[in-house]
Amino acid sequence: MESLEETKTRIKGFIQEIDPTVDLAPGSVLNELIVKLGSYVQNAIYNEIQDLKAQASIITASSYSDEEQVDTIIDQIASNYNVTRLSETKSTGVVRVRVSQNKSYQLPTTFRLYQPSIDKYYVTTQAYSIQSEGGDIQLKTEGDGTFYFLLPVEAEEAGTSSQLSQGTILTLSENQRLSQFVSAEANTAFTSGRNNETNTSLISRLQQGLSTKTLTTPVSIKARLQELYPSIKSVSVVGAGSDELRRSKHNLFGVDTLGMVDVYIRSTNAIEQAVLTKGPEAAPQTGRRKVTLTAEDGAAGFYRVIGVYSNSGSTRVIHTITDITYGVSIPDSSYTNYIVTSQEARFSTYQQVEIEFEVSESAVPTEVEVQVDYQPNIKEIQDLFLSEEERIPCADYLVKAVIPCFVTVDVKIQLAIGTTVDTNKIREDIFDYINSISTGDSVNASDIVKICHQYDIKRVNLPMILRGSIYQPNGILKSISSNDSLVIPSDTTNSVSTKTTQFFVSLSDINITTAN
Amino acid sequence: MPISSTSQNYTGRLVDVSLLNFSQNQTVEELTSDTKSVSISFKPVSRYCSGIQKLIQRYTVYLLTELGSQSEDPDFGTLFITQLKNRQNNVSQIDVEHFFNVANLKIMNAFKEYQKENVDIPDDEILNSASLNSFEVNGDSVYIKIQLVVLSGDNTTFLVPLPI
Repeated sequence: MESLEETKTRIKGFIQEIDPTVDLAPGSVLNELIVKLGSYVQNAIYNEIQDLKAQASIITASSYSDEEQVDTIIDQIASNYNVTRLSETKSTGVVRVRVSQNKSYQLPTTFRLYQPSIDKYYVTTQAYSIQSEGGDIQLKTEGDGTFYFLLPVEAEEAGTSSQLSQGTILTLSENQRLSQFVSAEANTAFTSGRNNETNTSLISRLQQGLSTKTLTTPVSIKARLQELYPSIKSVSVVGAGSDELRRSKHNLFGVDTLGMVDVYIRSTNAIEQAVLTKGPEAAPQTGRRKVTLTAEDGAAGFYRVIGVYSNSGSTRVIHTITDITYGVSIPDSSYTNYIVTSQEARFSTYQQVEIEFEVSESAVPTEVEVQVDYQPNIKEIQDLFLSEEERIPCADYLVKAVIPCFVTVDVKIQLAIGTTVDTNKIREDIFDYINSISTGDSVNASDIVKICHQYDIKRVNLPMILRGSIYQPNGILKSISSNDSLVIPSDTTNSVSTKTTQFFVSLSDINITTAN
Repeated sequence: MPISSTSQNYTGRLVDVSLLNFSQNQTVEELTSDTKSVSISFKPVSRYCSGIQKLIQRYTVYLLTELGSQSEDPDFGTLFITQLKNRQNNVSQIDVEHFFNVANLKIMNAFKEYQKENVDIPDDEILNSASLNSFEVNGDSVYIKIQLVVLSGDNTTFLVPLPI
């Protein structure tokens, strides 16, 4: 954008180049009549032309120094391709609030809770009445003479940094009152919020916006899925000729048969958690029960079983898990995928999990809660691939959640004497970095050091310990570690490679220690 | 400021469009003694000017432009005309002197700043001082006589405006 003074300077320079004998001093006739009036008119027209030129290409738009103006121009260019910028979303979840009395509680619309470690606030989006009978939310009994209710909240700030893991303690925010309040904690992991989409991400989606939105090529698959599920982070397609694809090799010669594709989806940045409720079945051993979970129970293709719980009267019971067995569950449907082994079904909608756990024979629960972590929308996306309207008749597309590699990081920071640093912000930045690593990339200690040096620190003490645990489809945990660069290894017989496996980290797995 | 002679030699001079009407053949005495109303206008045959003529025009334009009247240059001009107009038919000598002094201070500061930035201005275009010599109020008209003193002083040659 050219300022009025810049336009005047440009016009003066032009006139004096044509005729160096012209006097354009303030108050001179030529200055008053030509330079001033001319620049006033030209300035608006010049800037409008520059705006139009900027909209001709993203390269030109990106050269502007005003970031807000760049964003606006790129939004306008993207709209020509029917692509709109993904706006930020807030992390949501359920908080288990404990109170000491069994009575009615009334919560206002903006009831606020606070998480001190990450300095974030969480609010209700409506008013609630909490009662043991009736009311918007039921007041239940806890095991220790207290009572609790499950309160839906959302983060006050949008973005990825407000996600809470299960069990994170919250307090009442300042000036917030709740009589008989005892404690509050995240009942399950919160959903992952989303930051405003960057220009780089939006520009990369322009290509998808131009592509045919069918489920044929990797680009078109991603374009179609992002149209329906804007939060999808990555789509990796493994087809004929790829070693990672095992389903197509079930023949005498072990060679690929055509038509089969595994589609690995990462639908959120960070892992999400769910609680699945089911009635237990009898188990062979006394003092044991089991539940069998399939996609119909929710959280299709979940990664891990976090725990099994039940309520026994006023007591919350944590059941010891004795065995987890993975299998295959093929629904009775017109179209299904070709699955033979439990390894092929793992992390897909065909995954069946049998969980055996201990119970007290004198108090067998009628219903248990199984807490799992997972990638959302796996079943919905699989149903899309099998739907009559979208499926490729000659192909078998199996949708799976990306194979997770759970990362832990230990960072030691040296501070200058007398200084402090907000380690929570550093932790959030490392969390965003690791959970945003693209398919095929590694976790680099140098990138984490760079993140730390954005804050007022003296140095990062090396070596930095990076550890990863890959939850392989065969059920065996594979550990990797590095002081430099954590790389997904290639083990295609177990379908593990950079095409199928991605890094995940939770805030509690990023350990930061400081010293002065 | 006395004018010692006239000239038509514009060598090395920056020129402006002449707004004040002069006869080509007037003598120095006629030029300096001839007092009459000046209306700023473009004639059928445009002329260019430099030197004292140009300086007088610049000063006049600056003085008579109402401050804030130009949206593209809101700081250009003075409050001289605005304040006279606000007084309407109730203008006194003290008012005119005061209004002029305030306006003149602003013009002098602006001119001196320009002269400091442009070191190659000829001496007869460098304004040293300006003062209100006399004025006359007649109905809704005010006639003022302003003396400009330039750096060249008594050796000032008047450059006669020439047709373009």
